[in-house]
Amino acid sequence: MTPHFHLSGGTVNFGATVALRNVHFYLEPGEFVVLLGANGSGKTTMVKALLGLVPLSKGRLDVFGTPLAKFRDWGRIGYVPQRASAASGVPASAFEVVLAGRLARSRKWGLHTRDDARAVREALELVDMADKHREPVETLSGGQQQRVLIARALAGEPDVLVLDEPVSGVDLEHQESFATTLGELNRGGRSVLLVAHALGVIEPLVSRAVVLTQGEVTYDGKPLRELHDSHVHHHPHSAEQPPRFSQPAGGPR
Amino acid sequence: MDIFASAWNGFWNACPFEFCRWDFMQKALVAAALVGVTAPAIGIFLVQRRLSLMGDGIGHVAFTGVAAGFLFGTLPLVTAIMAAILGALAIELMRERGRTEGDVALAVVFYGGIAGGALLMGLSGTSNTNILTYLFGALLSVNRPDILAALGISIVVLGSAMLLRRVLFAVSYDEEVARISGVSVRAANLLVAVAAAITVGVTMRVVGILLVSGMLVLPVAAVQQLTRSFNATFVGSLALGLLVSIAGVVTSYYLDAPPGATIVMGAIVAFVLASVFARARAVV
Repeated sequence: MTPHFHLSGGTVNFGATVALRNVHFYLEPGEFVVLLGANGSGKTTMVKALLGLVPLSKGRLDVFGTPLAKFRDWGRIGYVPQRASAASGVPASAFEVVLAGRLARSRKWGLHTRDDARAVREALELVDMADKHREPVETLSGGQQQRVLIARALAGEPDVLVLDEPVSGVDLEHQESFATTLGELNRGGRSVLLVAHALGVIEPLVSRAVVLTQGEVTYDGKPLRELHDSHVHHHPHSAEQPPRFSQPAGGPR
Repeated sequence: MDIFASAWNGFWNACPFEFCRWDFMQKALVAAALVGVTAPAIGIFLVQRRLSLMGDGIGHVAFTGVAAGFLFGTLPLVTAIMAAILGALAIELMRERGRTEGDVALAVVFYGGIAGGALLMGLSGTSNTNILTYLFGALLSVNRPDILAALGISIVVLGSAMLLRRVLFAVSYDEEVARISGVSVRAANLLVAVAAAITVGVTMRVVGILLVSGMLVLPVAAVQQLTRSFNATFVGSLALGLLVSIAGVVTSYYLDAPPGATIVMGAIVAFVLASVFARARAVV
């Protein structure tokens, strides 16, 4: 099957700084991949590069089997960016925020359609926020705002969900309910690419872990207990290298 | 044309107030009403992106355009709108490139606009009285072409804001997610910038360059304290913009004060009342 994302030799430079160096990465349909690494290791840059939000200086990226420049089927991707809050300058209801995630599958002018409203309702139900659809997002708790942003990504009925540290700043109880939701979505057939600081509560769901260290992939394989330990109990901000494995980070065969 | 003329006369004859009898007041009320509903329709997207002062930056550049009009002997409104569009595009592109922070980009445009205007005004030898009508508005001297220009621009700006509200909301709310929804973020941002620029151009005739941003932003700032959704804020701020514009013109007639000032003061009163009401509601 065609991988959802296939990045080969991906390099991203910000001025003189190399943020991502010769990265090989793929995400197969149905996979649940977690992208781990310390702060500043290039996780967010890699995710943004996969979505075309940050240009590659070198390398090749295919999205759903199409070179990025020609890719148009954006409804297949749902993205939850790293964001402290869902609030903006003007009040917006949870419904309105989630509806914005529906644009890729819908007409861009005029009012939303009945089908859009249905997709928004379903997305809010999936994250257990249906009863809050009229609430202004800025009055919701951090965990609830996060769930609204996940619903926004789901409103386009995507095949793959890309989430950038969605549980940072969310308490453990909500992390667990979030993990349950993600597990259900994954079992429902969506693939998941999750950026995280540590494996934590999502460990049982993960099919593959990729570790970035200073912009390079230093591990790509089963989510091992060592990864968990070295990231949870040691010093996540130190530059210590996670275990290096002999197998190279390969593409799909 | 006769139908329009008789409808126009009939409308004003039906108005029970004394000020409705004056031709200059009729034109002022219509121009103010048009600007009152149009300015917040575009201002809401600036507020949402936390770029409330962008209207001010554009207004300052429009000042250079006005001065250029005087210098070259062309219609100041036309050169003002042209300069405003260029200024708005400059702010937007500086912001998009990311090398200059949004507020620094605005500062450059602010001071450049005023300095450029002062320079060109000096070269053209324009009188101070003339300059003042652009800085603080000259609503009572609006003529038929002004009203037609305001009407045309209102239709275009309101129409775009309503038709493209989904896209403009998505882009103002979260550029990155809008981009991966297949929206051309740059086109949407440039559209808002240009719409803001031409709105500033006509608003300038009503409240003046120095108060232009107030009309774009204050109705939104007042209403959003009481609303719970973007939709309600949109509708409410258009209604409030209309209300304060008409009330401001009427007040200026009785107080014999500049209408630009009474309109914007009215909007500020609405803002303060909304704050007090929102506070009170939060306590209860």
